[in-house]
This record gives sequence, structure tokens and C-alpha cells, in this order.
Amino acid sequence: MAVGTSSGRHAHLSAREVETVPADVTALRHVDQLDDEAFDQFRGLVDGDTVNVQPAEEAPFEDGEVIVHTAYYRVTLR
Amino acid sequence: MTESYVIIGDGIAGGSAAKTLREESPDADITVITDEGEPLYNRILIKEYAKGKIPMEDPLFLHDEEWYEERDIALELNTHVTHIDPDGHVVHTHEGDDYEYDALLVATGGTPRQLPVDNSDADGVHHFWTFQDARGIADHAEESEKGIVVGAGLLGIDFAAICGARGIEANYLMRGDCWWRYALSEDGAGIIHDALRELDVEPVFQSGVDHFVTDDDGQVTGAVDPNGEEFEGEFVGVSIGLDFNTEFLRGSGIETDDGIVVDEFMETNVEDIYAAGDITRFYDVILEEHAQNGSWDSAKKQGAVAAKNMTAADGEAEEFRHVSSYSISHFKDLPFVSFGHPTIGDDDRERKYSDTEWRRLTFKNGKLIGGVLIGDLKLQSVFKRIIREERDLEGQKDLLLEEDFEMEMLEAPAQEQ
Ligand SMILES: Cc1cc2nc3c(=O)[nH]c(=O)nc-3n(C[C@H](O)[C@H](O)[C@H](O)COP(=O)(O)OP(=O)(O)OC[C@H]3O[C@@H](n4cnc5c(N)ncnc54)[C@H](O)[C@@H]3O)c2cc1C
Repeated sequence: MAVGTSSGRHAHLSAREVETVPADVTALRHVDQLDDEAFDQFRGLVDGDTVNVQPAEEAPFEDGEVIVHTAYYRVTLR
Repeated sequence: MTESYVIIGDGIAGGSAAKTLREESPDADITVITDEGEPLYNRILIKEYAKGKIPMEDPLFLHDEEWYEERDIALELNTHVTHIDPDGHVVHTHEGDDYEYDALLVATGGTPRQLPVDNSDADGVHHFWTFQDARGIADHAEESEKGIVVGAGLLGIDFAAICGARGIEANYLMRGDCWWRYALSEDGAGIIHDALRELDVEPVFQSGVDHFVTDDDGQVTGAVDPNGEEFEGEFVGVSIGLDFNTEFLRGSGIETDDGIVVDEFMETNVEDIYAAGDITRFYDVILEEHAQNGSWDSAKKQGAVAAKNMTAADGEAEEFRHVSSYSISHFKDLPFVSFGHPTIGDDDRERKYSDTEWRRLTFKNGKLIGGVLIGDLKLQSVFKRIIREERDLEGQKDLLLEEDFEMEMLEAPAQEQ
């Protein structure tokens, strides 16, 4: 289930709830490892809010990264 | 002359200090000493490993041994520091090796405290701090049916969640009337109690442990509380606090006060010795008094600040100015965060918005200093910013309880008017 997306000039971020951590996961973080800005962005992605546009290199997430909160969310960066 | 830096502890405070030291001082000799057998891992995710939700270990390591080699940082695993000699600028270890330093960082954190009752070290009674602990907990939890959890705080609830995730029916023995009674009222804690019950973990109030009961093999089989009531359980999790790892500082002259006392620059009272992470009682520039944090973000930032100051030229010290937060993420659709200093202060406000939403805020001298949010975290960053900016909230505290509070609802700070 896709729960939120944000589009940008250089980056398109989305987060999807996943049941398990994929075996090939390259990055895995607990929500407490996010700084305030990244946390707000993550919350927005999860809630389906519109999140501000940003260049890909400034995205506070890696493509495929799993964030552990009250569920596990996989972030995709396109 | 090449500078030489020694870090004791390879948790997140020591690990982030090592990274920053190398960035700030490309040619220095850097040594990281740890008594654990593995390099820096993600301590705040090992609970998910213990729950069985993250079955693989690799993604939980933040640094592998190559990380240190690539940065020319010497990593000494399985090495326990027993003594430091500030006059000689030397660290002594149990293994018999000595390490000289120009500047030293102590980032040794704490060790879970045992209950001072009979059989508290029986087989099946778990304490939780290291990855090794997590492996033992995971193995035992997988084959257990009945559990007992002791310690009504942020770490105790991890054991409750492990029981829930592993299908262990458990009793959660608490001394008072509610979970985390230092930060939550019964209204707020009630939401957590309901969530625990949904995990098949039953909160038991006005309880605790008088002694544990064991079988002939020394395996725990239950606990008797001070009221004489017996609870069955072959899996027991105890989290009643930390004893800070300061024994090796005895005789060093370093000031301790349930932790190592440092200023806002992470410097101890002894020249060239710094401390960072859980172990510090640091001068909090926002609170204007010494305080303690027990959180990942704070330990990471303190490690980086200490490293910068260990390498900084005179007069260029960086201060630690930070509002930490600590989440509980065990309950589906029920987020929880505690931020700043929710257990102290001279005033507080709280409100319940629904059966799953609650907010409590603590104040000191008219300023927000901490709080707990349950159910809706949309204001987490806003409240942290208000704390950082030290906004004067005299006469406006209730505004912060408005369900849809926004920063703009506050009067502008005096200097901007
Ligand atoms: C199960 C669990 C869940 C947690 N969940 C969260 C969470 O959700 N959010 C959050 O913000 N925080 C959480 N925390 C707290 C967080 O992990 C700590 O605040 C943080 O890791 C502290 O880091 P540190 O580097 O100061 O200390 P530590 O990580 O404790 O590192 C200290 C290191 O020093 C070593 N050491 C000690 N004495 C010596 C010696 N004499 N010689 C050599 N080495 C020594 C220790 O073995 C250890 O490796 C959790 C902690 C645990 C255990």
C-alpha cells in the first residue's frame, strides 16, 4: 500500500508500508535517528501530505531505506 | 607533532566522535577502545532483532572493521579500561596494554542495574543493553510462553513489546499506579496500558518484585511481588535503570555525580579529558542547569561536539545545544514521543484529546522544557523548536494544548516586536 508521495524538480519521494525488512536492504534506521526536518518529511510521506520539493542529493533518505516507526516503511527515491 | 586521541567506548557517542576527530584532524593518531567484541552497531534497533522483526544482523552494524581501517583509526575490541592516569596522560587496560593520549574522550555509557532481590541473576532473567543481550533474549523468547516484565519506563516497555511480538503472555509488574509515572499522568499512561493489553501484556500496579522463584536447575520460574502474589514466567525482562560505567575513573580526580560532570563543551574538570553520551551530566544551556539525556540523538551529537572541542583552537569551542527526543514505536498506529526534559520543571499542562491522543508539556521559568506526545506527533518538531528558541510562554502555556496549535499563535519574541 502506497501511503504518500512528494514530487520535486530532482527527486520524487514515496514511502510504502512493508511487513518485513527486505533481505537486500542497504539502509535501515529507527525514527529517532532522523533529525527534525527529516522526521517531518517522513511523517508527511506516511500521512500522504504534500511534502516540499527538493533536489535528490539533499533528500534525507536513501533509495530503498527502511524506517522503523509504528510500522516499517520503505522509502523510494526517484 | 602528531596529536594523539583516545576514545573509550564505541557506542554512538564514541563512534560519532571517532568520525568527527578524523574529519577535523586528518593526521592524528586515533584509538577507539571497547570492551564489546564488535564494532558500533545500532543499539536502538536491537530491540527489533529481539522481537524477531529484523532477523538479519548485517544491517544493524553501523561500522564494520573496514570502516576503521579505511580511516586509519585503531580499534581495540574486547579491551576493558581499568584505570586512567591524567598526569601521565595514559589509559591502562585489563589486557595489560597502555595507551597514551593528548586528549581523551570517555564515552562508556551505563550497564543495566540488577534488582537487589534473591535470584535476580537466575537463568532466564534478562537485562538488555548489548547486541549479545539481544541474541540471548531472542533465543529464549522464541521458546517461552509466559513472561514477567519489570521496570515501568522507556526501556522496560521494550521487554513488553518483545513478549507481545513473540506471543509470550506476560505480566508487567509496576510499583506505582501507572507506567512511567515520572512523566505521565494516569490519563496518558492509561492509553499505554490499553496498548499493552492488546499485546497480551497485563499491567499489574502497586506491585514489583520481592524475589524470583527458580527450579532446581536455577532457571527462573516466577516472581513473588511485595504483596505476596506469585506470577509465573520462565522469561523475565528487568529494566530498572543504568549504573554508569565510571569505576575506572576512581582516583583520577574527574568529578562524577551519577555520571561524569561536564560543561556545555563536554569537558570534564580535568584538563584534556572530555566525556560524551549517556554517561554525562552535562551543563544544559537551555535549562541553565546540569542535566542528563539517555537518547541516541543526544549521544551522537555530544560525541561530535566533544571531538570538535578536543581538536579546536583556543576560543573556538562549540557548545552542546540540543533538544533530544525518544520514541516508542511498538504500538501500531499509536506513536509516542518524549522530548526535552519531561520529568522535571516547575509547571506542567496536559490534555487528553481522545482515547488514543494525549499531550503533556513541562515548563521551567515560563519556558517549555519538555513533553510527551501520544497518538499524534505532528507538533514534535514545533515543540522542540520552541524549546531551542527559549520562547517566553508566560500567560500562553495553555495555547500549546490547542489541538491544532501553530507556532504563529504565540506572541512574537520580545526582540522581534
Ligand atoms: C534496548 C535499547 C533500546 C533503546 N531505544 C532507544 C530509542 O528508541 N531511542 C533512543 O533515542 N534511545 C534508545 N536507547 C538508548 C540509546 O541506545 C543510548 O542512549 C545510546 O546508545 C547511548 O550511547 P553511548 O555511546 O553514550 O553509550 P553506549 O552505547 O552504552 O556505549 C558505551 C560503550 O562503552 C563500552 N564500555 C563501557 N565501559 C568500558 C570500559 N571500562 N572499557 C572499554 N569499554 C567500555 C560499553 O561496552 C559500550 O560499548 C535504547 C537503548 C537500549 C539498550
